[in-house]
Amino acid sequence: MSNSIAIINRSAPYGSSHATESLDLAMIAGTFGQDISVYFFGDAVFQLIEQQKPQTKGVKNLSKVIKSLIFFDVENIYVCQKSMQERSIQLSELCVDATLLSNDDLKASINKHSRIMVF
Amino acid sequence: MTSFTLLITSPAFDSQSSHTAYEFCSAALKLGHKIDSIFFYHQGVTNSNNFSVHHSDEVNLHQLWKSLATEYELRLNVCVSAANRRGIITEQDAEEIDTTYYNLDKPFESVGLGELMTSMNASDRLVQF
Repeated sequence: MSNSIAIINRSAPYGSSHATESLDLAMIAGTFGQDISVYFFGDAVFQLIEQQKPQTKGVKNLSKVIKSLIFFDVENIYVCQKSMQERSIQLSELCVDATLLSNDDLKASINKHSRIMVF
Repeated sequence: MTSFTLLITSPAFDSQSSHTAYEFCSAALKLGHKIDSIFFYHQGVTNSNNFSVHHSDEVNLHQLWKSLATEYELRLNVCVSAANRRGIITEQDAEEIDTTYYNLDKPFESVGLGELMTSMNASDRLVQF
């Protein structure tokens, strides 16, 4: 198995630094030419919402950071379908082209990677 | 023998995970495995804070890491951005912001995230705590 990285996000976009530093890591991994996939589970799906206005809270808008991932060659973005349904979020509300996966497909997809990090 | 890169993202004092990482690291070394690099990121950078002061009957994880690194010549890499954001700075950082004090010193090294990619690719396994 060649080295490939799965970054698994489970945290809401704001209220902690998990999302910010996870995305920093994804960008650096992309810059270093790593084969990388980024996953969003649970409240982390809120990171992907196009319409977010956190500037009033004194933090960066993470949807803009996520949109810029493509410039760092981070193209594989996977989202937990169940987490989306539970939060009544539609694919059209997301800020990037992401692939929705069922729990079984997520498991199979993540298992293809040799390095897994969770934030 | 297996070679490991350890990624530590949990805080030194506020959670058990960093201490578990230390125990994992000690056990792996005693069994003859190789630790290519220990990389402190996110809240894990607090492990490198030289200014952490503990009661005499408490575990001082910062000192434990230092002793282990000296004994086994380990690389204790600390992400510079994550550390600086949390007020953990090297002597060079201190000069740049015109202050006298610094709290990140050898055997901890302030490095970029690229170091994590390099060591991770050289290791058989990555383990996150």
